[in-house]
Amino acid sequence: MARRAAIGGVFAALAMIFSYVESLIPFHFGVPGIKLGLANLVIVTGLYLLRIPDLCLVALIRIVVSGLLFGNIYSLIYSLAGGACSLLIMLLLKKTGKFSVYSISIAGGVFHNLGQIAAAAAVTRIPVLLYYLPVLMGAGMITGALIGVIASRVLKIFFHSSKQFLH
Amino acid sequence: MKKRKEADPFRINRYDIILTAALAAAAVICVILFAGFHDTSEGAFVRITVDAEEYGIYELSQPVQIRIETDRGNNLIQIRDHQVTMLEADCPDGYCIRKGPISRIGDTIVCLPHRVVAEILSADGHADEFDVIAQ
Amino acid sequence: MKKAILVMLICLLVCTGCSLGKETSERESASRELFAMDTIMTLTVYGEHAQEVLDLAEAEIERLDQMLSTGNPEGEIGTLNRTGKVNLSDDAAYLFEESLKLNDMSENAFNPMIYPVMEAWGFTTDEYRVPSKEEIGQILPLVDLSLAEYQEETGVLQFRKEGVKIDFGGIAKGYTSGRLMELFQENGIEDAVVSLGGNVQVIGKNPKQELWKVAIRDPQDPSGFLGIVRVTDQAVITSGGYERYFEEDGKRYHHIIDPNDGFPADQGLISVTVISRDGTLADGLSTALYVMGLNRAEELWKQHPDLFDAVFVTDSNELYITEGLKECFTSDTYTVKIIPE
Repeated sequence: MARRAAIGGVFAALAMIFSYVESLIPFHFGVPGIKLGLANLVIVTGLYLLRIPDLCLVALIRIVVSGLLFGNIYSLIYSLAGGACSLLIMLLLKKTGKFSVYSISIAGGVFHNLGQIAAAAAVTRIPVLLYYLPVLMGAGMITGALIGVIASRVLKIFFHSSKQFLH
Repeated sequence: MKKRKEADPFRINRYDIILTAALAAAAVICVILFAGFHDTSEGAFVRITVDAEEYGIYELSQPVQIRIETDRGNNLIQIRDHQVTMLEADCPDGYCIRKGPISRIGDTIVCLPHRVVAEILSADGHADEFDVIAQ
Repeated sequence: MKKAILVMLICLLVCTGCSLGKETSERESASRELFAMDTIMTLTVYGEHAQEVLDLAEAEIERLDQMLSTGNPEGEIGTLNRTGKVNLSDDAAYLFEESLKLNDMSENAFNPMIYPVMEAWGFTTDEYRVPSKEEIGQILPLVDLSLAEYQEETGVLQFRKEGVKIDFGGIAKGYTSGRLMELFQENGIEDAVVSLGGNVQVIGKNPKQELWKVAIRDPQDPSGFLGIVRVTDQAVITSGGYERYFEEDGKRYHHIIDPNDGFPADQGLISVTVISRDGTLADGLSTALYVMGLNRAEELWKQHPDLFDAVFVTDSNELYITEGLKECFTSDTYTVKIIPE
């Protein structure tokens, strides 16, 4: 149990660091909500290394704390929506056992942005934001693919060094 | 350790290709569905401000009646058929009601005594044909 | 692995570069909407410290409003109208001098002493009524600039008769917009647009770095425009009876009263727009030319073609522009007739 807490803590801290680094890089295309999603790297990796409840907790902590530190209440709400959609779809896809880490990560990226923009459109009541959906979905796919590649590299290291998954 | 018949997470299989293709297709569908939102020639929204503070932004396409009650008085704004009209107002001059329906980008209905303003916005928030109206 | 990381780093740099470029090309700008001088005012400025400049602008508007408002009994004009005497501040003195010039230029089509007549019609309280000819006959002699005695050395303005009242409302907004442009420029702002109750004044260029496109309201179609004029460093001010009027016994009475007879001007124009570098002039002339009618307005313009330009709509729905606007005015709804120099 203590081990789980410690490992969970490491993951959460790592996700926070990635969030912070991301907030330093100016990455705006004039479209609200485009984020590199670097922290998702930690989540995707955690999909294969952590137990489900631990993973959810890590994601929640990351979103809430970085939302409070680096954003406002609205970005927090949008992040939560995006993070929830993303995590949900990735867990479902992994459960089917039929997909590789690459497409799971791609789907996660797409649904992350989808959740964010849907939340923004609902909160601001400006449905024209949905116009940005295709762009964000495309961006989500690209970042998802990149994250998937990196995650696979990281995970392979675990595979090779210990024959067991951590969970 | 239980052995499950799971796909190798590091191998790209046909399910991956199907999923990725499906997501790409969904993005394309979204382009088609939501392209209409970005029409800049016709007014798309109406912004209502009370005492220079934003009260709300409404779609011209959604019929609705908005009742605004302040300690200065009452106003009833109607959005219908892509037009905005001041239906009722208990202000002394009634210019806002006399204005009639508005629908073009930049058009406004102003109830000066009650400080209620309704302004038509384009889909991206400002008028394209002109910058300001002299009246 | 190393190649992949390199590729990703390059992509990241490119993306960062793109977004950085976009950010530096978008200047700071700020907009503010406020109520003053009995109307809505919208100010938009582009440049550094935009918000602070708007604070200054708002303060200046409040200051002038308090000073010039006839509804403020403690203000300068309020005190003048109440007691018949006041020490004029620089701004008010300037407005008085400009009023004399406009009055002379327009052959009394513009007269700030018209206030008692406006009161008789109820335009000052929104309690409209049609005064009798006798009543107007009694009040009209008060509408006389020579009854206001101004001593430049002491700065004192004094009325020579009881019942005389002055109102700079016809040029106050134009003066204010001019003052705002000065204020903006003093504070390093090069591009700005203000609309003071529909009185527009601009400096510099619009956000797309083109001349400002000012649409002019069509008197016949309250949601349409009679045309668009492309300008920089100009005030664009429109006047028309359609802006404010009331009806009694089937007849329509509008708010642009001719100081020569005390009744709503009826010289065949339904809308006049004056475009000039001088906001005060544009404001005053927009009503003066309306009162004068097309022919006399044309004559006046020909004497001062570099001072201002104008757009006229007659009651037979014809649109005329002075030659100076030839290149920068377009209309989708009217055939444009040009008045040559």
